[in-house]
Amino acid sequence: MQKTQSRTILILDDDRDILEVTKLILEMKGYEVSTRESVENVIELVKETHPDIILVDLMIPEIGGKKMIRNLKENKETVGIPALVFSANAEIESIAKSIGADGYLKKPFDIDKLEKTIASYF
Amino acid sequence: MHHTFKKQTVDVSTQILSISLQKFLELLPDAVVVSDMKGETLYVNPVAEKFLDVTFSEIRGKNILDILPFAPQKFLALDILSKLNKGGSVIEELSFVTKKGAEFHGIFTCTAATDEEGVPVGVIGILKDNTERKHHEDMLYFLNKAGEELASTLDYNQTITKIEELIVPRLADWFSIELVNDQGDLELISIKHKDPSMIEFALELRELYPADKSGNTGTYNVLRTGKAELYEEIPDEIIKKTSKDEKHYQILKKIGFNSVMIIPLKLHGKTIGTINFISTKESGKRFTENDLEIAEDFARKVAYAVLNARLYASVEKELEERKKTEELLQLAQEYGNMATFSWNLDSDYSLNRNISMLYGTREDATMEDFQKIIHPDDIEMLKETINEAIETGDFYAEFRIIPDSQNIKWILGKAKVLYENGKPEKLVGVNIDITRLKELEQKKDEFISIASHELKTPLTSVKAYLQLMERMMVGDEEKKFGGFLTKTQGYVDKLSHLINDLLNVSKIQAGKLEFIMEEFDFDQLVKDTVESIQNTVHHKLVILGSSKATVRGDKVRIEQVFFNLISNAVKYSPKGDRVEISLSSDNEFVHVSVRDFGIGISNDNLVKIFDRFYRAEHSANQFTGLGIGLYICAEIIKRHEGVIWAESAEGGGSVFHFKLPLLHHL
Repeated sequence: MQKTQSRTILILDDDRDILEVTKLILEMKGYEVSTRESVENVIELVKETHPDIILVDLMIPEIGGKKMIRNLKENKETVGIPALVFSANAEIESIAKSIGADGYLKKPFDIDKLEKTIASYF
Repeated sequence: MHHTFKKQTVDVSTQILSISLQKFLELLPDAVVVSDMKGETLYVNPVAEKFLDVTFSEIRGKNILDILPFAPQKFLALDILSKLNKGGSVIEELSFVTKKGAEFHGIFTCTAATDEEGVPVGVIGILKDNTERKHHEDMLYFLNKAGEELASTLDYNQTITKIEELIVPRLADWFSIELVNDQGDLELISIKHKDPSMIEFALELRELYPADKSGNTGTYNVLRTGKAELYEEIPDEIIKKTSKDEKHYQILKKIGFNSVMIIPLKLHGKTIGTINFISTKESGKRFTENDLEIAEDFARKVAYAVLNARLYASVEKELEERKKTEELLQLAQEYGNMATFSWNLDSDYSLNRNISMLYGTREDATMEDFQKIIHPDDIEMLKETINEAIETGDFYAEFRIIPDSQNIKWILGKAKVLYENGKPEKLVGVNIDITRLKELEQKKDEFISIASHELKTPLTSVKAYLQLMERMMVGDEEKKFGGFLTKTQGYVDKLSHLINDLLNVSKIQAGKLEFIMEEFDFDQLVKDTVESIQNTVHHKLVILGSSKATVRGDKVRIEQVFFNLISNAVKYSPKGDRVEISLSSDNEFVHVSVRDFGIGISNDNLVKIFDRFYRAEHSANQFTGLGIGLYICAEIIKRHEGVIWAESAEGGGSVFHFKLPLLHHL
């Protein structure tokens, strides 16, 4: 537990309820959780918040999750941070692959699965 | 006579001869005039009196030259007299119009009478009236000519005009054709008189005083009896009898009927109308029995011409109607964005209509031309579909074309293969522009995609909270409560599956269902899936046997197949308590069967059960569901190059089978 306390997770999702419950679950696990319902400049945001892992919904304003992850992966400073697609889209797996995401988490999710997935990046 | 008979005869026999001769001259139907060599009239017989409109006592001793009314006649008489000075005889054919305006044709024979020394002392002129004979000859000649005219052309109106011109006024002053219509009335087809204003007058008269339908004379009588009527002369009584009132009588009298023929037009023994020849006092022509015969012969030709004209008209009408139908069809096709085609399978010949509108090609475009326009991604599919059609007889395909660089159009092709002697010969059918439909379908797919995403979003929170709550239940009482939460989660999963199904159907339709293929242990997948489903159902799910094989496929989709098949098995066996999932394998395939002990499926329904939105008849009222589960299963199995089928008996439960190609045995 000591080890994970310093980990920061950034969640980008337009649905406030999902943000709330996901944050709750992960905070119970001892993570720092930062959330945003919309993002203007994802690179700037990442530079400010210094996350260790990023969950991105596909429907997030302004430019959408696909573009955001591409931007992150094209930027030298952010490419190393694991960025995961976090979506209800049925094609989530192939989308994640096509945009170069590090993984994906399908909605609706199992709490166990969420925790295991996050833990696997540390 | 004056001179010849002046000598006193002593001989009684000569006297008898003289009287007989005079009587003979009086009875002779020809006009006889006797004069001396200067033209002084010595004798005229009664016919000549009538002809010259004088009496013998009036002209006795007068010069014949003074009596003749017109200059040409005077010259002729003078000429004849001078010729006969040397004896012999002169024969002249005469044609002229009488004072009353009637035509006259005759043969004038003049013979010099000589004395004992052979010196001409007088002239005997005999004028034979040939008018009727001439008229008869004209009838024969011109009606024959008119008959030839009838046979020479199919143009009804032109023919009628020509024969009218041949007949009026040469043979008759009036000529008309009447044909019986469907109501049994005679309709005037044509009427001719040399004076157009007279035609108008006749038409008005016909309107005012229509022909008597029940009369025992006239056109309707001829129509009924089929026998011609001939009136060589029209005495006043006939006009009186025919006229309907005093005014009518006066009008008819003024027209001055002279002679009338009404001839039936007969076809196959049936009278279809009449042709009518009328001569008036104006020409004084008279129709005779001889003329009737010629006219009847002519009528036969007219009847056949009418038949031909009618046949021709009906063919023309049919052609006209066909042309109209063609035009309508063309318009309908244009409005419907539809083209028709007929393509010979063994050659490049095609017969198309409106193809150019859809494809922007020539109307007689070849397959090669089409291939250039068809979307490259759809060409293979189309070729396969055509090959399948040759086997099955039916062609159905939706494909894209690129008629120009700006546009992509969606085309629906529907056709049948026509066989000749068992050999596929032609592909005949329609192409319809379904671009708009496809656009709408796309909008619908987008809508479903958005809707399912929207539905899943709150589900995500619900599921997460349920799990959180479940975790917090730690005491014994609370654990019991936690069990409810586990169940509730199962229902959330079910809801999530249903949403996925909905989305998948629209993706399958759009050809956009993606598959992520990986290799996996088939038995393990079945075990995990069945376990997870078991949480939400009361039926006992039993796995029998094993495949001991790996399969390459989309795990999530195959899970979905199990989910759908098992859900159905449970749903349709409400009284059952068990569903069996049997696994086996052969060299090539893993084989799965899902058996229930429920209501079963009738044979009628069995064939349609894998169709989209298909729900067994009457089941809608008893069982819930969207009718898409089996359709999705079939699509998923098909995409894995497997097969799916069902066996069932009504009331005896159902077994759903599917086979998937295996990679290798474990």
